[in-house]
Amino acid sequence: MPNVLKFKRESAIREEAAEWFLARREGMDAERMRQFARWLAASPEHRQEFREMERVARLLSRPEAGEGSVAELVAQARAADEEKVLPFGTVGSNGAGAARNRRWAMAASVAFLAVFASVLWWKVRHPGASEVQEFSYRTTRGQFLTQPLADGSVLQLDTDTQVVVRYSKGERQVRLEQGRAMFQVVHNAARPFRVLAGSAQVIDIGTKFDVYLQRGATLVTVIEGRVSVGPSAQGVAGTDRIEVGAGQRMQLVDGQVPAAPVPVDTARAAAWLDRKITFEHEPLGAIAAEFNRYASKPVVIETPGLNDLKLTGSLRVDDLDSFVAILRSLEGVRVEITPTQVRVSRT
Amino acid sequence: MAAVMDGTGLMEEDGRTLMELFLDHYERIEAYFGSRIPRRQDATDLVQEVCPRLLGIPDERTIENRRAYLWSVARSVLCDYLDRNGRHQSVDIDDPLIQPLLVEEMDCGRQLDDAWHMRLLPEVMEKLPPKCRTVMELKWQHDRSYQEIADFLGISINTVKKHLKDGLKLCRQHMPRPE
Repeated sequence: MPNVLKFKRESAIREEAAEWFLARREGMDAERMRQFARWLAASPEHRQEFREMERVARLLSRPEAGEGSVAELVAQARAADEEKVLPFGTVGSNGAGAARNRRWAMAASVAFLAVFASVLWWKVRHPGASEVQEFSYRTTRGQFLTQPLADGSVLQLDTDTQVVVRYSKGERQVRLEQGRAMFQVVHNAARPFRVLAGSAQVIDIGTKFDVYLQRGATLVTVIEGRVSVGPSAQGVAGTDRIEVGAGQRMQLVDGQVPAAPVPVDTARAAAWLDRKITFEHEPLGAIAAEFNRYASKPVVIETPGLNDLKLTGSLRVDDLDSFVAILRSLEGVRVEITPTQVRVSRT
Repeated sequence: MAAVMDGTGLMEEDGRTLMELFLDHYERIEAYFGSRIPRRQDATDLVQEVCPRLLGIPDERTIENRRAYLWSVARSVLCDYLDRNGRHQSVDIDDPLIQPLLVEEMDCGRQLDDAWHMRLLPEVMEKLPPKCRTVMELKWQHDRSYQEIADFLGISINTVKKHLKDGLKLCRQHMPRPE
């Protein structure tokens, strides 16, 4: 009986030690730190267990402790998910489902690519000089995807987006064929990172930046670091390029590089990463168009004059109810919800 | 013994973190405070004040000599206490209670334990459930944030924390050390 009690106590202390260990890593305020110090002072077993947690984490962090890049680990995990849940091809999701459905749908829609990619990664761990790896990633309406790349860079895809990633020994190239993506790039001068999007080409100088392919124009916003932007037709050696720094945006139409980048609020520009749209004195037409990129049921402005109505606010991309509430609160505006549309008109 | 404090790396860093060092020397620091502070309880309570000061460092890898740093934190806590209570005393390193804190003890046992557990590590990782293992590797091997791990794997942050907690407990269970 005493042994059972001893074991129980040990495992309870271990549980507490693990919790305190993680809490400490996350950061504690002064009061929490006092509680932690009191817990440590309370018994030598507490101190022993916590010390062992430190030690375990320290050993786990050693380079020889693990194999596999982030990209490989994630691909394996996703492939394992897919095997358990849905066989290939039986995607039964609708975009308007709950977040959970979206996750399974996302897993299913990239599952084939993930398994294919993971098999290739395992096989080409040491690529030959002429080896080129090309992978395609796609999100459907309302989906988001965070994808680590083989070199440690991270790609985040917004709704309704398609990119093709082509990594070779001397270069890392991404083609944004549709939509919007955020790039967090591990800088490597010997292996430049290039994004081709419409008529624009963005070359990474060391950074985090957003590329949005709109109809007829490419919008590049730099969150951190610097990129060099120019027309895609020219290639890397072209001279018609401008550097864009953090907090700046550049819009290229038909490969025309404007004289200078303009300042932009990066928190608002990157709001989509938090699944939000923010707007300040922006026309309703543009806000509805942006909202509709995510929505399965579009908001249609029937009275043309309403398109210019200026609004300020912020919305979650999947929150139709709040958008409708905002519209209904406007004077002289009527909102009619049908099975396929949300119709907005003047009363 | 003067060479101990000059930070030229004459002493070998043994790879333990500040918290590990602190906890290994906890009772010793307590005894040291006790030798300078009349009331036993005050000395015991005072050790708790060392903790927050150790935790306040953003990146302890920038500290070249952790033992010396730990000593200087303990010393400043003691000095502050003595000042507050109107007792000015010189606090120096020639105290037999402190010496082991400053000098690496010839404890081959601990280094052998580390080496042995490193060899054991792949087996231990195999025992973790797959998702838990992936989260542990992403966190400790690749130093990813909770949010990044949650995004990569399509799970919530709370699930990430749960996997980390379970993983740490299991690893600890399979890497025992003699008391």
